[in-house]
Amino acid sequence: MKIKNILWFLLIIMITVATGCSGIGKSHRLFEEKEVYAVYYHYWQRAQESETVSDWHMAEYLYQIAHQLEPENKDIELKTAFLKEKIKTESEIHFQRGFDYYGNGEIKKARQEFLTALRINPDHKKARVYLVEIIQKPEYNTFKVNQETDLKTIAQAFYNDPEKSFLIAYFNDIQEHAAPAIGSILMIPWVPIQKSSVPFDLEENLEKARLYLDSKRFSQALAMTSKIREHEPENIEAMDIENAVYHQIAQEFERFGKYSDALNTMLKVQSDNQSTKSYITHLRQLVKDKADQHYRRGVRYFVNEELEKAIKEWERTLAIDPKNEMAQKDIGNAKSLLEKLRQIQ
Amino acid sequence: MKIKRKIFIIRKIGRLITAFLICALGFYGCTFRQAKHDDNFYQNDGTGNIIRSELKMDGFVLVRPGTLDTFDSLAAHYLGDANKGWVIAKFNRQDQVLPGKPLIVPLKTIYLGGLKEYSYQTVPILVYHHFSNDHSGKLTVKTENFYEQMLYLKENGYKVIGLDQLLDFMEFKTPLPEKSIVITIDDGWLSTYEIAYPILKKFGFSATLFVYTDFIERDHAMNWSQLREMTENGFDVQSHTHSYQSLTMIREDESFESYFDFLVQEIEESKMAIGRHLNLDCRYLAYPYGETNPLVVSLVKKLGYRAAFTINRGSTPFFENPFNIGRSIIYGDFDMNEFEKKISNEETITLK
Repeated sequence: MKIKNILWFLLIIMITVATGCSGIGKSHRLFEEKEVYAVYYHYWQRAQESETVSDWHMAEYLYQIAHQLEPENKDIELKTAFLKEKIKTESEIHFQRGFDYYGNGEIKKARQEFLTALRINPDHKKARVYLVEIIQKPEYNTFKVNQETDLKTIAQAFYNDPEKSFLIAYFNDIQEHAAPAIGSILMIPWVPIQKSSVPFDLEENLEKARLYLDSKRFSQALAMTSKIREHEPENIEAMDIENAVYHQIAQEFERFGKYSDALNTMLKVQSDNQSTKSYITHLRQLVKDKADQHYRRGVRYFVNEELEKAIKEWERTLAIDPKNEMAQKDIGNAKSLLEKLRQIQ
Repeated sequence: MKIKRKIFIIRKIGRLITAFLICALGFYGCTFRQAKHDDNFYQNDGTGNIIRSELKMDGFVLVRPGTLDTFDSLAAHYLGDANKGWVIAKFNRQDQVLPGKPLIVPLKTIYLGGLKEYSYQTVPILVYHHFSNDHSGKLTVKTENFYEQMLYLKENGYKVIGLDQLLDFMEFKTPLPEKSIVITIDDGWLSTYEIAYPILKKFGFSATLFVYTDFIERDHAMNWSQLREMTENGFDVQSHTHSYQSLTMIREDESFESYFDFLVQEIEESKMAIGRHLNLDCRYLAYPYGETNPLVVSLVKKLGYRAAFTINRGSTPFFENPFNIGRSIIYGDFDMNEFEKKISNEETITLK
């Protein structure tokens, strides 16, 4: 009886000790509460910082970290949901802008918008696809086989040379003499022109470039001068046509009040003549005046406590003059003030 | 009988109370031990070294680093890549790991493309050719100049990366440290092994060697055994074609078929030779003279290359065409100002 009791007590002790001490091994006991709170607070503050400088993607991640460390803070859940929506909306706006620029052939601007969409939302797959498409034009054509045909006929159509059918066979992993399957899409590689067989006609190309310039078909004119300069990089006439194109584009931009675009275009002109220099100086002044005008308007709004309008004006200042430090600083201040006001409300 | 039963019940109750007290004591004892343990919350190995502890959460790990931890060791453990130590350092805004001070290891991929409000990241790719102890020439860099250039990179915090890392960055898969740079050395001159290799090793740098395989084992060229030694020490060897002839020139008397056969041989043979002699997967090509055309690009892709390089100047952003990546030649007459101009890591642009 006694031995039985002792064994019974020993069993209880062992179970108790095992149960009681098992908590030591649990990971959450490895961090002190105040320590976790300090980490939470640090990341919560950083999330706010990121939000202030429009780095919403990082802000969202930092809030998620903070929330897991301090699940009691319900505001973070709302904040995260708000940021998710903001990231989606803003990145889509920039993507659409880029898409429109791309459609109009304004590649540089399109690239800038796609990059902005990606900065805001690195998961924006379409922005990445278009960004890559702009830069990486396919180096081959494609041909969809709609009816029964053979590679020699296709080679004749594309290269004016049926003997190049071997090339199509090689790149499409098919037999040279086999008929390609109807419905298949064939890759048709580009082939270089042997210089001796097609002479380059300089005069004819210069004439075409001038005609494009006169009819204000600027992109075609530039494509033509670029072709000429591939053969003769220092061709003065081609350079003059290019300069004239840039000059006219810049004037168009100026007419529509797009002074920084006008200035950027004029900076491509490769000429030191006085009229070019004076026009560039004139455009620089216009850009500066316009940026100042928006900045001052922003200050007026700020003084009248219309913070959102002030931010918009300073953003316009930065769009014209991206290095304007005062506008950058004032936007930061206004945004944090706005945030504080929202919190109070 | 009743009394006996009462005594029995009292005994039972007594036993239960005793059992409860023992349980309470045991629990108290253990929690006390735990509380004592919690006083500093550090686990140590008995010799005073703090042992790492962690709390895994959704998308990150809260880590109390141990005495022996570094950012690279934490990156190797949690991110599976010791090269990503800089990500943890940057995320925590710390220059070094402080043992015992909790930090966050981000498990989410961040900093992709190096996109910021007013800039995006670019990676400069340098090209060297030949080195000499006593003279410099157009493509020959004097030993002391090369040393000075590498010293500059080291002192200014540049991280030399390999082409796999560069391509992962360009494919938007992984981020790169802000001051990343690629060093390439073309052709396969013996001076690469005799002069550049010891200097690069001294600074803890590596390089990618683009060799044309027909040149290897010849006078003034490296041999396969030297190349093997270098690959065993972290260097990479890739293709500069077989015989270093322009891939874009078709001779007037040459048929298109023979031109195409020549292209296939030049691009394929070097890849196979590197694989055969060095047991390496050759996936990168530097076009001879930096010249290419769309047919060459199609063929390079078809033959299994991942990227190809020209000698067009400029630093590479993530969205560059991988078959037209520019590199900046470092000429023998460059002074340090000219060298510094070639290693820009950022392109200014408004992205908001």
